[in-house]
Amino acid sequence: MVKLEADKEVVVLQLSNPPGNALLKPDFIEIEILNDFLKVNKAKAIIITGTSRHFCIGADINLLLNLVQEDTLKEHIEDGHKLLNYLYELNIPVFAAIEGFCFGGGLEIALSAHFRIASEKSLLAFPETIHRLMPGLSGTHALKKYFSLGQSIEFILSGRTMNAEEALNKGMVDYVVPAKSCLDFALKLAHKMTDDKPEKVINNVMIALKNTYTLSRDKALEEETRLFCELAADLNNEKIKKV
Amino acid sequence: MIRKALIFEIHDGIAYLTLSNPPANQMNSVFFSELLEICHSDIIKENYKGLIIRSNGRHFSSGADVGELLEIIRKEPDSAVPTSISKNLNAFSILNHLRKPIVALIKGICYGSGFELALCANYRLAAPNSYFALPETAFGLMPGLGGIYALHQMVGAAKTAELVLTAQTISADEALKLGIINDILLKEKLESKARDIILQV
Repeated sequence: MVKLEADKEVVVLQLSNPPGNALLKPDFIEIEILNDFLKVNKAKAIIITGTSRHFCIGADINLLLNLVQEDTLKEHIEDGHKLLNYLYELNIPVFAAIEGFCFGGGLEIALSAHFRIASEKSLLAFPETIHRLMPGLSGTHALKKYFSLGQSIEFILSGRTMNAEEALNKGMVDYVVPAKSCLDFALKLAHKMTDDKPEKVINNVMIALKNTYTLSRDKALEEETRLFCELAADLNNEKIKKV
Repeated sequence: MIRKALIFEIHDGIAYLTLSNPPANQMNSVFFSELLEICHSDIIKENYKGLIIRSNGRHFSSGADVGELLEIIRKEPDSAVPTSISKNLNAFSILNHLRKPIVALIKGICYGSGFELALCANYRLAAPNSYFALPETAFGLMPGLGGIYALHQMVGAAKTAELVLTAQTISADEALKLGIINDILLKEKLESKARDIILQV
């Protein structure tokens, strides 16, 4: 279901259930397994992508309904939430490289990444309401960063697809690149951002960046200065060690 | 008052803060203590319509004196943020909260905390030969005076992370395209445009 690979210190997580990489369950990988893999490889960035032509078409509805019958859906969705939170809370850059379809649970995974790179031919949607369901892995909440309430309701209730250009204009994706080049672009960008950088520098920059969503400007600036001083203190300690 | 790194003056109802430690207008501890003093004694007290931040010499500013910063931090190992550094932020906060338009006029190099100072302004006008960067991560540090916050508001999280973590330099054209600056003008035309903006607000 999921393949993990490391390109030096950049970890690539591939959703792998071709052709659409449908999710078998919301908690598509165990956090412990992912966490261990990141540690072993000293990961400085993660790229989430799909095998084949698509990112992910979302959950397989029949399998979801099976989980309902087993009475384990809620549990799996909670674990799915934990997984997406885990990804967002990582203090290394998390990229989603989106080719083709990025629907439902797939879009929720992409939205839990920090940055999104989409192919010019990619399509994004929350089609759940067409099947008399709704986004259940924080999709409704994640849209808030990019849409007004009315726009979110329209997007979710219509179930319509959005192309990469519209998503770029809304700020929902950050880069639009030619088809089939998402993963390459993401790898280059991730390496450019993290190669030769101490992990602590990457961590503190990511923390400061995420603070801007949750803290007031004054508080975010105070934190930025504190994070800066933390790095400066580390630099001093290193110098002392060298002497 | 004679200062070493900064000049503050008011002409025709417009205030001018001039970085005057050319060629690089480096922001050392003298610069920051003068800035804080000007913020408290002039910028929040004087009567004027708007503030223009400009520089003498070929450049805006090359940013902070990193060696000196590290020295300050070495001397206060037990405090999360040494007093003098929180004072630097304090000066920037006064500019951020100023309820008057601020226009920064940029030419040449605009790096690090110099760039962050320019980001305190509401408008940034740049000469064609301007270059911008937050290079701190290249030597193990990060922007520490609001650069990440301000850039995020303007260009979003991804571009901010890219600019900060790659430490890359961008030209005035690229900065304009990203919306980091408002206009590119010949050096001689910067000031009259800034005055126009302030008088129109």
